[in-house]
Amino acid sequence: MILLKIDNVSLTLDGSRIIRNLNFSVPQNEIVGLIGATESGKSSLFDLISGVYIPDEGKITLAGIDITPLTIEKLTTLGVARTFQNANFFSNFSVTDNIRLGFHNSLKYNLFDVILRTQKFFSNEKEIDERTNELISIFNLSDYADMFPNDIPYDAQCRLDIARAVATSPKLLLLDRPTGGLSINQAEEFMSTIEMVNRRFKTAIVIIENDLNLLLNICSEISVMEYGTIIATDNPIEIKNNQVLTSICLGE
Amino acid sequence: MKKNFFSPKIFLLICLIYVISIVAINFGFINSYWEGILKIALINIILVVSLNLATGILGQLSLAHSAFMAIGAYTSVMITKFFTASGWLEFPFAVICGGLVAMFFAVFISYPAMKIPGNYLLIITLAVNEIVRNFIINFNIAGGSTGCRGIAHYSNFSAVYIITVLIVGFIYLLIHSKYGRATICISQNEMLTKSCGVDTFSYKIATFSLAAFFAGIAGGLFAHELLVIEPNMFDYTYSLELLAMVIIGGLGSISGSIISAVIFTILPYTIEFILDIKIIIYLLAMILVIFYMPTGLFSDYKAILAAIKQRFLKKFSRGEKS
Repeated sequence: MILLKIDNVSLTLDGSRIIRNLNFSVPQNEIVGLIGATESGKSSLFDLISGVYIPDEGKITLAGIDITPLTIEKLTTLGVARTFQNANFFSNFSVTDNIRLGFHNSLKYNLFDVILRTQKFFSNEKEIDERTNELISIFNLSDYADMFPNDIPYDAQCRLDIARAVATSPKLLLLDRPTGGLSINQAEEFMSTIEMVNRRFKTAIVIIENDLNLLLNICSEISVMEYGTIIATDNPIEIKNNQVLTSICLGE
Repeated sequence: MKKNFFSPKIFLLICLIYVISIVAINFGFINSYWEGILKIALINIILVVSLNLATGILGQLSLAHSAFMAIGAYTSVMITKFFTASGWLEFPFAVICGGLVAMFFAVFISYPAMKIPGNYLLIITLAVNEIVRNFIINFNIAGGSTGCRGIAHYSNFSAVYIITVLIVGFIYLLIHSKYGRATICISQNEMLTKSCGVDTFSYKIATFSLAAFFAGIAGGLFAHELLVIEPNMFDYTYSLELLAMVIIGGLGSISGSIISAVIFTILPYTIEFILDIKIIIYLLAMILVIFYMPTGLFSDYKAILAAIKQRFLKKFSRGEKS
């Protein structure tokens, strides 16, 4: 079943056509790769899906709902989560509090509960505390729980980023170059973390990556992007064996 | 019943201070001059804590706080002068109306202001402050530049104290909840906060307007304490003073704001010569704090208390030795 369907969208920014007549779909519960040369519009496609930009034409649907005109926060509520290139976090909050903010929409109390400090307030907060601790242990951040993100190693920062995105209970997770800056071992370990997220939380994942080899083992299909449109979608082995496509990705 | 703070210790402290003050006032230990200064200190606490909500928590530097206070003051005065009901009825009504008018005005200006990308709120609020003051003068609101006299003296110590405790308690409870956490995150990384599902635009307007509401209430209390108000009391230098008090006390720290407000209200009256050059000293202190102690002088009250305790114990043990 198709979770995300992008129909013929285009986007023009500052006079240049960044996305041209793009068609893309993500099956439910699958991991999909997105590769291409730099400046081919991959991050802009994520911007379109997550609501940073609204396409000039075309339609985007999520599980049948038209999400084309929606804002970032509304889309997060509907289940689209996204990470940015280079780990993004709140530097004045501890690791725990960073993840805790991802649960913002899971806190169902209102202003009256806050002022009168009702039972609902305390039980909600306690439940979120437990879920935060659970995520911390799932993503191996227990050693860093009370530290500030600037003081923890870079691969932990990347895990923090994805943990915060998972906290928003997404149906679709968009990862923009999640292994940028990681060593080869760390990158492979991170790939297995991503696979764990897909398995455990039943989340569809789209990964932008420059290194095709990292995607071979975990993606069910890979799409190649060039000059703002998708030129090929196939399973990873076929893509790897296609000389033309791989040379495009390397920018030749 | 509103539980203001979690610990019964703080609740006891609040009641104790109240009882001591009331006894001291009624038995003449504190004369009416100092009673007035205490009330002004409480009103400044409301102003500084609510400005800290907009500046320290939300991260929007605002110089319009005395304008919201002016709106609250003049609205409440016009209501109490217009009606001739008993004080118990018209005073709360007037003060709350003052707060509401200030709040609506804040929504009105923050809606376009928050849409402008970049840090232009400081200049916009400075302009707003002057616009409000000149509006009162030019349209002769309640006497215009000659001021408004003969305001009924409704602000007694109990009323002001209780309202201050309620407002500070409300802000404290709000900060320690999902609303407060989300608002602090907006000031750090707005895009990431949006990605967590927070409607940042609404939060910014709501927080700014809530701060204005409390400033309007403080204005109503202020007018009914001083009994005479004129537009030049609410110019931008008062806004600057409040901003300095917030920064020196510590951005985002309620206890810091309370201590800072009390000290900077009482200090000029104990050292008379400061009154004239007050604003220069405040601004110098603010600059020094920003450079050398950016978290504020009084933000870590636990550390201050611990340091005082240590000094006291040291003295005590030295006395024992000798």
